[in-house]
Amino acid sequence: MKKNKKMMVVFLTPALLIFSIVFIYPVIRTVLMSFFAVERPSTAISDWEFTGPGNYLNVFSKNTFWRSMRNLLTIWGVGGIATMLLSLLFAVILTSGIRFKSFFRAMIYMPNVVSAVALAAMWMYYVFSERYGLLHNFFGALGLTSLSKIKWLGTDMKLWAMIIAFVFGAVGYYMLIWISGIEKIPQDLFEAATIDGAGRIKQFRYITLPLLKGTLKMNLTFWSVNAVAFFVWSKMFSPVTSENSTVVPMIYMYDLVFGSKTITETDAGAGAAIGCILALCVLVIFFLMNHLIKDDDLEY
Amino acid sequence: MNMKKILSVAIASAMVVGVVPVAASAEEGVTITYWSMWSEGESQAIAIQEIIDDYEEATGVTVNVEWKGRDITTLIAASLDAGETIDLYEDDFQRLSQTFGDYALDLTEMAEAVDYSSLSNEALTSAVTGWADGSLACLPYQPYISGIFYNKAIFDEVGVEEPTTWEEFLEVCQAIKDAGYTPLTLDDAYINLNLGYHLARYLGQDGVKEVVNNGDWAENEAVLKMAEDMQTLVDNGYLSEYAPGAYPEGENEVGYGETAMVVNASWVPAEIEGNTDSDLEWGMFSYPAVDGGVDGTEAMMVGAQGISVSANSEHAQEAFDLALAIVSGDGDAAISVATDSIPADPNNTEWPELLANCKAAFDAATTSYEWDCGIDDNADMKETIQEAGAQLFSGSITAQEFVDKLEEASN
Repeated sequence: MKKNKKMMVVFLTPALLIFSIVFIYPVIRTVLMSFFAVERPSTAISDWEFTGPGNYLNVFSKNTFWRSMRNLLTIWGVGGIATMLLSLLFAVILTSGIRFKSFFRAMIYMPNVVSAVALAAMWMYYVFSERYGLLHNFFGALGLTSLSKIKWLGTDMKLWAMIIAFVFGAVGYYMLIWISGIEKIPQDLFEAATIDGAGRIKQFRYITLPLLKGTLKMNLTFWSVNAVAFFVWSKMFSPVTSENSTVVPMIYMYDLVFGSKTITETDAGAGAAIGCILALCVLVIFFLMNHLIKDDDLEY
Repeated sequence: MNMKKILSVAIASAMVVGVVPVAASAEEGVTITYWSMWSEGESQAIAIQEIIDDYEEATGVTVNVEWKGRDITTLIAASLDAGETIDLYEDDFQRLSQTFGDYALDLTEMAEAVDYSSLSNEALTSAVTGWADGSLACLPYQPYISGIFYNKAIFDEVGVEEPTTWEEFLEVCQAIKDAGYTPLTLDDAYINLNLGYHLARYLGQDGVKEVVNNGDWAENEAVLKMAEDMQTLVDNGYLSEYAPGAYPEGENEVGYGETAMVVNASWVPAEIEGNTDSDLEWGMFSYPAVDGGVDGTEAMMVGAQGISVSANSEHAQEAFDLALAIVSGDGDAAISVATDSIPADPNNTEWPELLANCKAAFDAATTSYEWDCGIDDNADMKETIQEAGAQLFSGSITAQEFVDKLEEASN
């Protein structure tokens, strides 16, 4: 087919223009902003004052930043392992030929169609409440008094409570991706393995898992992006002011850029620096995964 | 809706019908744009809309109102920087004066022309001019006061009076505990308010700011005294066993009739009654004075919402007139009734029934504290203070460990 360059330009220009305005420009502006003293994101560039790495050094010197990074690492690491394992387990069970597969798949995915705000409220007031929560009543009914008195929403346990709730909401999404990966594996591999005498566990270990490397990479990428953008759950678990137990970099960035009840002097430059640090974290994770998980040696 | 609420709405509606302060200078055919911090359907928005309707009818000015909700904080600066036509906008009065002070028109001259000082609370307007370098950057309205709010029925049953000193407060707590009630409750969201209030009684707000900014947690012995006083509440069983609760579980205990008192602000009675469907008679007293402290019961954390007129407004006079109609006179009274909040105009002496017992404490206050009484002044420490406070109030660390923890974190 003959290439019509004029038509290509006509069709591509609007898309490229919009992409540049709504994506490339803000990215460049944010990176630049991170090297300047800027009070607000909308402050005119003529009022920016160059500080070099000043914003980065300022952010690195703050307790809240390091605490937020520590919390994020816990959410990404512990929450990630729990989510990946649980979602893989559900995916394997649901693709093993069990009855009512569609029903169970819909049930496990359902938290994803419910607003995170409603989910967080449900967990806080109906599950974790120290007075009438499900866990309190459950352990109380079993006579496990000390367990029933755990302050799930106290400062020592709040992060873990939030991770449990977040994982509950996330499992269904990653399960669907695992399922699509498992269903792509040719059935005759399993049939051959069955004829050769391999049981379900061996089939999973030697066929399913190795052939899911690409899906694992995709899931870890999505999980990392979602974890870095962690915001709503933290806001819900600390609704009035930010707390050490739930603060994450996005919350800290939001407080710096827009101010809060107690932060009346905004600092968009420092907020931009946090944004750049987070973007760098995601890039490092991508780089590591591309090097550690090789899936281009598999053909099926 | 119970009878009291129906009556409140009816009175509010009746009051706004006669909204008065509309300046003669308003020009017909003019359109002004008003960005509000309330969401459509909220009681504040309903009351303000009625004031706007009357203003439009009386002046011929058209008001384009946009109910932005609390997200207005993230929108206002960017929108004004982008050249959006906004004549007047709302937010917390401290943020309007400090964070967004550059965008606001100095209303001093217009205010003087209508003798605004006789229509406003001086503590609030002087706070605005203090933050905004002498400029009247906004007109405060819907003020709040803070202190200890209590269930009057429990006080009456136990037979105790409102305490004014910490010693008296502990005696009241003991009497309430002996009667089978929990004396005091606390939510995680208000840990710093409790700590800040008590430390400000020892050191005054400026002293609190010095401690948090210089990291003098161990050096200043008032910090340990404050922490020991808080530990006394825990050790003596005066604080709820669930404290600090996950907001609003703690404050709801007052609504359930289990707990007598909570340190909070004047929105709390309406909030608790809404949460628990209770109908209490509320009392309120100023946070008690401590032995040898800098401040006494005359000092109180107060605050308000505010309305600013944009510095680049082409219809500043009309915008000011509308703002004045909202923050003073019958408009202010209507908002007060409709939202169970304190009137901003001191000429509106009738307070909503829910807050009627707070008026004496407010009238006696002569010194105002900022939010959390200065303990949040160091933005990098406030979360750490909150965390250490949560451990202190839950009894997992002692007063000395609280001090050591903060000393270590700030050095």
